[in-house]
Amino acid sequence: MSAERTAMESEAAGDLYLCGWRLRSALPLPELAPWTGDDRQPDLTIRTGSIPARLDGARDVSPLLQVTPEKQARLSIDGVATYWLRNAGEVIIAPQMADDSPDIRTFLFGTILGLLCHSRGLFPLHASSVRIGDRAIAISGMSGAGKSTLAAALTRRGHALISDDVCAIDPAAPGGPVVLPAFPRVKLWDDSLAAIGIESAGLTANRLGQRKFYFRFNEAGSFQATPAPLKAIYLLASSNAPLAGRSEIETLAPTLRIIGLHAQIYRKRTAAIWGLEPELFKALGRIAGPVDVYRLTRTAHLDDLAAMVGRIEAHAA
Amino acid sequence: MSEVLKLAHKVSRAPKHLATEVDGNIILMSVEKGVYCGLDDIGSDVWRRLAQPQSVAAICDALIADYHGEREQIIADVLELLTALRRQGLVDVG
Repeated sequence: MSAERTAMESEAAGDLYLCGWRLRSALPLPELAPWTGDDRQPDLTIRTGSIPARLDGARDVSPLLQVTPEKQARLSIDGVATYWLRNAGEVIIAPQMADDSPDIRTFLFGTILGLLCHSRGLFPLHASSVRIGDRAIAISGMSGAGKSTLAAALTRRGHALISDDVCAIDPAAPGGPVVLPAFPRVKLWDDSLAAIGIESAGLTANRLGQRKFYFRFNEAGSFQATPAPLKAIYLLASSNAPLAGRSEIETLAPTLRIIGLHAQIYRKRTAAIWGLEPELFKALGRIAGPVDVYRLTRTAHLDDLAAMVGRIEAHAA
Repeated sequence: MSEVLKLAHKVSRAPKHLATEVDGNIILMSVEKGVYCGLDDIGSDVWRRLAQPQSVAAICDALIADYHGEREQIIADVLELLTALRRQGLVDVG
């Protein structure tokens, strides 16, 4: 796409909240809550514009992702958009489809959000999180392990969803680690939707042709932007044959907590290129000390979901 | 490199490692080998002392003084620990 787009500055009144940042976006981001904080300048600006094919000094983390030691990144998703993380406060997007297509936001709120966390000093854990009482719990695991499904089921029980897939943690917050809420949104496969009693018709498709949907909960209006102290992290371990066919929750010893959490740092290879590995590893200890870390082994059966939700609630209370 | 570790050897932390601390215990990762290593209280103490490169004997003497332990046992334990850490690429010798 060669045409230069005019970067439209939205009015300050249209500023949005994301992970504690004041965000001004030229693209519509209907998932996000409005900014209701102080009258600071935006922490982060999203514009549309043209993007160089090659960033100076870039290394290829994958065929889609270029990263430079100066903490720039260029992500190219064919047919969707190219994204340029130009600095910690600016993202340029060159869409290849309509500006309001959800596909564009899938990668903005995935890889790009994770890289923004790294460049802005937050710890991005590959996890969904919900607020239970006045604290947060995070459900972490590889893609497909069931993070979003569990988080959504907890939300249906009245707990507020505060992040999905990329959980922004401030490990150095004064009173202990906190989760910085992202938005009240969740991605789900439609078989998961059926299991928690929501019809997929009328929801916005996540990517064209994929049977995965976004939807916004009715509670979205009551989204709380305040940081939530992190009480517990559940590391999901899929098991084809759990003991007695039931889900298990086990406490982990310190070394296993570190190993488990280390595997779930979001976009860790890029962080390594940016020289952030030593600091991230130290942060693991800051998180794994005060925060309870459990291994949660679950069955693949969705009918086990309600029981699992009840156990996590009882556990986290 | 395969030489048996001796009291006279000078030991130091290898430059390429990751370290963190949970409840006072040090957990290390060897970046090159991709191996994690959780240290107990005394192992964590030894690792903190390794911030200053020094001889194995100096470390043992300090531990014997601080823990009032049996000399031969402490020396054996420290040699075993440092040998394991060297094998994982976490400690340099010489």
